[in-house]
Amino acid sequence: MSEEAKKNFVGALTARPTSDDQKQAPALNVPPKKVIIKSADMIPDMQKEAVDIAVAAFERYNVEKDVAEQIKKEFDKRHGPTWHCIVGRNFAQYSQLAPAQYYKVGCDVDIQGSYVTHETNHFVYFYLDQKAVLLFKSG
Amino acid sequence: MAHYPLQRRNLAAPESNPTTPNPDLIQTYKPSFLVKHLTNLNLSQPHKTRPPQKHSPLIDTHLQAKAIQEKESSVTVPVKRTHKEKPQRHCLKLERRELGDHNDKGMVEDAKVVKGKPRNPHLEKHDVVVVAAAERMSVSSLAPGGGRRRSFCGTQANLRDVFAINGAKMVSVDMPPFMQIHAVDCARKAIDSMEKFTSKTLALSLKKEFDGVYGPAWHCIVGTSFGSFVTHSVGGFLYFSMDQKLYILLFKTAVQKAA
Repeated sequence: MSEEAKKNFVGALTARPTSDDQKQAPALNVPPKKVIIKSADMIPDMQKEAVDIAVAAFERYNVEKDVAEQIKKEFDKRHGPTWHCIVGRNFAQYSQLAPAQYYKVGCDVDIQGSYVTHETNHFVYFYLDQKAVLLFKSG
Repeated sequence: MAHYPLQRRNLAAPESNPTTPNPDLIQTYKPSFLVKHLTNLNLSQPHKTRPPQKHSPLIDTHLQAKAIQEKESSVTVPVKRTHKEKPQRHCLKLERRELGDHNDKGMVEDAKVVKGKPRNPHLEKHDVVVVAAAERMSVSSLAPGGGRRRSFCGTQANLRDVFAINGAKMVSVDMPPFMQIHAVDCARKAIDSMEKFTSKTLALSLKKEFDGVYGPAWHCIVGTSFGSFVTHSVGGFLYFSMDQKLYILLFKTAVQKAA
C-alpha cells in the first residue's frame, strides 16, 4: 500500500496522464474530457467507476453541489455508507480517522494542497477538465 | 419528513410569546432554533417593504425565501434557468425521502443535509453572494441592535457579537452555539497568525482543534469556490463564511471501532 501511495504521489507531482487515464475518456460522440488522477488509494475498478459517475454528473448538472451529491449518493448505494464528496476549483480539506494515515496531495496553482486521511482503499482525488473532485469514505 | 414540521411548529409556539423566557424551557435544541429566528428577523426587514401577510412563522420564512430567489434571478440568472432548476430540486426531494425510508437516523441526517444545500449555489455566483452579503449588512446595520438583544437570551447576543467582530456569517448550522463561537474564534486566530494564508493550514488548524476538544472524527474544507455533499453526525455541522469570500465547511462523522 505504501508503495502505491508513493507512486501516486510521484504521479501527482508530474501531473502526467497515464494510458489508463486516457482509456477512461468518454465516448467519441461526447467531446473528450481530460482526466488526471492526482492521487488515489482505491482499486482501479472503483477509480474508473468514480470517474464515469463524475463525467455523467457533470453532463447532467451545472452546479457543483449537485455533482457532488450525485457522486456521493451513487457510491453510498454501491459501496455502502458513508462517503463524502467535494467538487470545485479552489478548496483545501483536512480530515483524519484513527489509525492515522496521511497523504499529502500535490496541487496546481489553482487547487490548494490537501491533507486527507480516510479509510484504507477508499480515497480518490482527480481532475476533470478544470474541476477537482475529492471522494473518500469515512465513518 | 411529515413529523419534523409538526415538531417545529410545536417548538415555534412558545417563541410567539418571548416576553417571559423561562430558563427551564431553554434546552440544547432551542438555541439552534433561536438562531434561525434571528436570521428570519434579519431577513424580515427587506420583506416589510412589501405588503407582508402575517399568517404564521413558517409562511413568513417561505415568502422570504422566494424574495431572496427573486433577487438572485434579477441580478444574474435569467428566469428560464430558475424554472429549469426547480424540477431538479423536486427530484432531489424525492430522493431524500427515499433515503429516509431506509433508516430513521438517515432521515435525521438527510434532513439536516438538506438545510445546507439550497444555499450552496451562492458559491458559484460571486456577484449574488456579494449582493446578498451587502444587503444583509445594510439590514443588520439598520436594525436596532439594543432592542433585539433585550428580547433574546445572552447566548444569542454573544453569538451575534462574535460573528460581527470576526466578520463571519453562518450559512448553515447544526451545532450548539458554544461550538459555533469556538469555531469562529479558532478560525480568526488561525488566519491572523498566518504570515501567508493557505486554505490547507486553516483547515488543518480547525480540524485538529475540534478533534482534540470534541473527539474524532472531524473534517474541514476551506476554499473560495467549491460545492460539497456530505453526511454528518447530529449536532456536528457548520458551514460559514469569513471576510465575505472565504467559505469554511466543518462537519463530524461517526468513527467505526477497528475490529
